[in-house]
Amino acid sequence: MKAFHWSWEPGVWLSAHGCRTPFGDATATRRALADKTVALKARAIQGSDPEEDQIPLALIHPMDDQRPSGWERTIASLPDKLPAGEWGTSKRPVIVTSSNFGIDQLLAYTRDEDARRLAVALPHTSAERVAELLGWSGPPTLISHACVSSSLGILQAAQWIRSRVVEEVLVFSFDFVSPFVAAGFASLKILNRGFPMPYSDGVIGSIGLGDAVGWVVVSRTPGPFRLIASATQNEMHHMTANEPAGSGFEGVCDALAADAAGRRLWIKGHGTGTLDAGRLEANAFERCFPGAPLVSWKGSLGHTLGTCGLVETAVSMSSVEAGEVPGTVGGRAPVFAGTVALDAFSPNAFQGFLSFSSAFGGAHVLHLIEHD
Amino acid sequence: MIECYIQEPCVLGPFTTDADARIADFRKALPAGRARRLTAMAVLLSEVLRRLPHEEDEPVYFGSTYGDTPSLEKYLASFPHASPMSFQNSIHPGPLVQAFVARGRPVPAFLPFAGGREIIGSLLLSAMTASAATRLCIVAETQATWMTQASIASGATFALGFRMTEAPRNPRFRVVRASGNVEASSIARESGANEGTEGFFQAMAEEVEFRVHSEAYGDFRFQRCCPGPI
Amino acid sequence: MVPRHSPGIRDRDGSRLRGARFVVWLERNTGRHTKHDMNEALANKIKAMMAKTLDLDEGQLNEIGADMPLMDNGLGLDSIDALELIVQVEKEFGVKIESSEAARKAFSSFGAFVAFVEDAHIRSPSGD
Repeated sequence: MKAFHWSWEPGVWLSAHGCRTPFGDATATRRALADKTVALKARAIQGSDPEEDQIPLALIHPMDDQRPSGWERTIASLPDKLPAGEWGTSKRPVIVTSSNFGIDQLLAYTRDEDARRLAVALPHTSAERVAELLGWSGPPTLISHACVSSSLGILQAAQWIRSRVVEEVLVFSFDFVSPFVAAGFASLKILNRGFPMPYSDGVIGSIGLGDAVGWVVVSRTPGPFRLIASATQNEMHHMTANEPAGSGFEGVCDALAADAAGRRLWIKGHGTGTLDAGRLEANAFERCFPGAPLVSWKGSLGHTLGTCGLVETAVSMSSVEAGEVPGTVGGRAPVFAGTVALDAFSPNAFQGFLSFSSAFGGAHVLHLIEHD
Repeated sequence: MIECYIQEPCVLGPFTTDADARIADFRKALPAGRARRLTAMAVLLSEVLRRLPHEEDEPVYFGSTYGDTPSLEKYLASFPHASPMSFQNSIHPGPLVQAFVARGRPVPAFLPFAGGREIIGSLLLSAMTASAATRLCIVAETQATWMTQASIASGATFALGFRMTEAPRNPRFRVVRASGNVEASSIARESGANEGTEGFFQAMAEEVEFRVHSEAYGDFRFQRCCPGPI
Repeated sequence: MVPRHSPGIRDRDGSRLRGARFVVWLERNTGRHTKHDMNEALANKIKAMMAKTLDLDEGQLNEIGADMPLMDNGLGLDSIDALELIVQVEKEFGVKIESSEAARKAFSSFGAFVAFVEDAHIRSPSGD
């Protein structure tokens, strides 16, 4: 299955990265992951049996119906953490990505009919609220494609940089767990009381869900992290299942094979904890990039849905800066592929990493990022 | 300056009181096995793809401000026994994914946009800067019930599909983009201005010359071309 | 964390089954249920739920026999249909399926699914 190849010559760089997870900023998150600390805790879904229906969640704020919502309160604390400058202009636009935006307010509205909730319940109204909280000059572009949202945000930013229609782009992503999304994943039977064990060959697969915010600046200014190329593919095989032979995973890997040739790479994988997709992903990476250590941190942070690509890329960049890449937290032998790294390792022997995200409908986005 | 060309658009709607009947008609045109589970919006988008088939390797750009709001209403109503099907269908850009899954064709590049008044500007800037000879662009909304009444869903059901080309290929429009200025976003025609997906749909449906002015993404002028030889 | 057992499937010794044990139980026990053993009244009730939930017509319902897989079959049902049906069954009968792997096993055939519901802890019409 042939993927779409995106080349970022003459040069696109990632800089000014950051995130907020239940552990704190990117540095604190990386350190916690390296210590194999698990942010996920067993919690009850609102309205269900608190003794029986517990699921693994990694929350920054309690999952409640308070106003302002948890994501508003978290984002309100971030203005001095984000890169300085006037964002939201034609030359320095903002791309906001999310699976959820303010959807938590919609379900809450059906319960209490508080009309104030509707003011931030839609993607664009929640994004306007974010713009207001963070002081952006103009409205952002919104990209929403489930769990590849923020990876696509980086891609779109790179495209505009390469086309020279902008000077730099702030890509910002946020996803917070709510009863709306927790109940949805629980109904798909992939969110249950089992804690995720990414890439582990077991009988039952399970994911966890997590809150996160992430950001990165994409620009033409050279720096330590250069975006070399990207690949995308959308299998359109089934809404929730991948093409069984893994051709979607193989397609994006094959598309970047030439760009990766001659580079020693490690891989920040998707690895949610489900069995079928985890197996296909691990096998594809082992075949296409033999010897490249593969890690996933969703066994600790949970799946942060649309934001996962960006927040995990930010943690990856922090890991390179710190000289230590955390291993696959929550994973345990036997694993699907010999390249799955359960323990931390040094990035110093590598020239870059691949950042991978995957979503419903067999959507795949793979970025090749070179680092010093 | 960036320019491109747009071929004859596929225009469906706007449907309001007749939306259910029109969707039922479109559903009949689908193979029975494929139509069963498609939502109304997915059926609408399937009709767009039937009239304007996706070409292999062609990037797809999709824009919807509200998404599949009937599915969203259905999912919300299913609580406390959350419906997995309605949850799945409510995720942006679920309806177009359903339509492509029903056709069984992979799409190598797919960028779905949400947004309010800036959605058209950002979608156009994205599509116009793509490294591809042709791009398929689709914009759609569907009306809901209580969400429409609460003004958080579209008041009409409509869909617009068009192929954007780098070089003129039976063009209906030539589109030229200049950098933006500080005016507020608008879609301006002689007859007045509307914003967002509905305004863009109306302008394309009427095939008059018009301008999409985006506060952040520039000024896009749609100039009519004489249709080329078929 | 050791999960508390909930009302659900019971093994022959009366202990409740969860997760992997449930999967093993299904593998061991569904083979004994043939179309001749299937609870016809329950089967018809489940078929009616399928008609309503999955928008199946009478012709399609008549095709469903005990040995028919409930996913990837000639009816065009897939995992999402199965999950949608599970929600209705959970709601109607008070049973619980924990994981997608357990769901796949329960749906190995229509007869297996009827057997699963029959053997589970079924709520009385009064709701307890």
